[in-house]
Amino acid sequence: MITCSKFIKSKHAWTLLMLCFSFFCYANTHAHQEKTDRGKFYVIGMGPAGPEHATYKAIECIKEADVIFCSDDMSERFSTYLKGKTLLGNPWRGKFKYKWKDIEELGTREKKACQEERIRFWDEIVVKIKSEMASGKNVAILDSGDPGVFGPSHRIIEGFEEDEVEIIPGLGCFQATMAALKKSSIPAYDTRFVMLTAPFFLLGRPENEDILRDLSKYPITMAFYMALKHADSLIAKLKKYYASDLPVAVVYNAGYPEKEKVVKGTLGTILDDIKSEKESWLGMIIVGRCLEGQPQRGMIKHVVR
Amino acid sequence: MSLTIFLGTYAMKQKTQFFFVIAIMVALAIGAWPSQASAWGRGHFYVIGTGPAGPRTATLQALDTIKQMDVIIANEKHIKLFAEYTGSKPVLFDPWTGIWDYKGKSQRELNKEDLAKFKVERFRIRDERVKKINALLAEGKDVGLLDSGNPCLYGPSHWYIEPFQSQDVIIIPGMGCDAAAMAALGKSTIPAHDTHFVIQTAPFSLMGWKMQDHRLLKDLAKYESTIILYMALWKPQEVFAALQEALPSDMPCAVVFWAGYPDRQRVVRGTLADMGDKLAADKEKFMGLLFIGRFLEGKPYEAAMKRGQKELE
Repeated sequence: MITCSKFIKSKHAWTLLMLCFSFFCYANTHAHQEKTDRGKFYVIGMGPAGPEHATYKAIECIKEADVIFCSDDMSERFSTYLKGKTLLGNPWRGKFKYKWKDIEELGTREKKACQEERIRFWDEIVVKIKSEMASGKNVAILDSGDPGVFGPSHRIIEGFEEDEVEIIPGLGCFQATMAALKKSSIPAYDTRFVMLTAPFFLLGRPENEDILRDLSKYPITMAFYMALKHADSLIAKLKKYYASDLPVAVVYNAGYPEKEKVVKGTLGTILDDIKSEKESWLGMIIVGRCLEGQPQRGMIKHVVR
Repeated sequence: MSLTIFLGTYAMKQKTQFFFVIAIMVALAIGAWPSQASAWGRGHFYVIGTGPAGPRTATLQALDTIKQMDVIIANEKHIKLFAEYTGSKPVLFDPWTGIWDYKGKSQRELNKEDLAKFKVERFRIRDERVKKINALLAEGKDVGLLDSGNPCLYGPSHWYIEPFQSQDVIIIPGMGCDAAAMAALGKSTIPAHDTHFVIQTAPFSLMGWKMQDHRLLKDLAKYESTIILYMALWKPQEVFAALQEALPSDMPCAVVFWAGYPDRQRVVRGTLADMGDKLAADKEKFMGLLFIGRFLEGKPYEAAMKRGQKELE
């Protein structure tokens, strides 16, 4: 038997101490290595149209990514920047179609099944991204427009811890739409606010028109996303609460140099004005006095300080 | 014989028709030339949304457009940020001096008499500058005004856009500071829980300059929404006292300062009850965007989807 003090002084103690230290160093380095080798996850707002509307930072960020999720349409538009990248498919599969039918055409049971399928599919994407990151790959989802407003990528973002994701903001279609109209959305005469919404978000389910009754007391600029398919019912509801001479504009394909088109009218005329238009998805409806005259100058007259 | 005469007459007719058509085309071209020539030769007034925080947050189109301009209009800070793209291009003037200040004072500090003079003077200055731009366009020059963020939402460039004919102006859209701030917060503003709409405004538009008109806010408070307030850092305690007249005190809110600037961006979170004091203690009084709403809590997008699922049951 050796005593404790003898052991400390012995060669064995020093050998044990060295072994412990080496093990600690190895474990620590290995853990650190694993952490630094983990890939990054970017959600990149690519703007409303082609590369010209992407930010410099968005393009730089694509360069850093090894693995990309994006729609087929986007991979075509950004093909120059995606060379050499591994494309893992469309993260929005099933967002617009289910069993070859438009989402709008589904019955309640099918709609429910479709939503469940979407949730399952998005959860699968989260797992795939995490696995790619674990193997040291940088992963990016290319989202159109600005991911902060009606950006579907948030369903995937929410599967991660806050510090695991970097969102690269992008130019939204609202900005491109207003640029095409060449008007100030606010300040604009006595406009109190700009409202970004979609018809089914504004009115809710079941539809509640009280919201329109309350809003119509105040001058505002309304910007409707995803409204082209339901333009007739939206305009009919707005006409109940607003004057029929209230200006309305529809901007189709905002930001696409050869496809962008502006149609202007009023609540009373716009449905006739857009009757011949075939596009039913890529477009935004803007409603408000900001569309007429000189809205910014008009605001100066209204503001009483 | 008669056939020869017929063919000869026919050929003559064809020749006459041909020369007649040529004559009409030449006449049209001559008639149209002067007006078309002036339209083609005239330059354009570009209003370039340069994004919230320098070249990295500008679009490729914005950067490319700056390079193509003959003359630039921008303040010194903007020129410095985009020096790589503006190069040695002539800078016509700083577009913002005299628009919000008078005799070295901010418009907020002016007495009644000076305020009245300022309201006239700012338009005189603007009109004088518009003349300068017009003269350059007439010489065939392209003039580019650099505006921060998104020119069509609280974009001061509309001071200069509105006096021009629509065909003279091209607006290059820019990413707003709202997009950069949303990215910093990492949340979906809509879909988010039961949010019906996103509101973009400023305290003075929402509640009046004296923060005493709460009717609109009370109507809005009936529905879940995401509210984004520009220019809300000035007199924060007054702003937050007014907001609490209509909205619950525990409503989450956040301010993103210097959105998009890599070294300066920061986020301050709180509720309507405590944010006023937090902002009062903060030195930054302008470069910040205020967000209010339940979208700041939990997983707003998933919550909205789950609500959608329930509605189908």
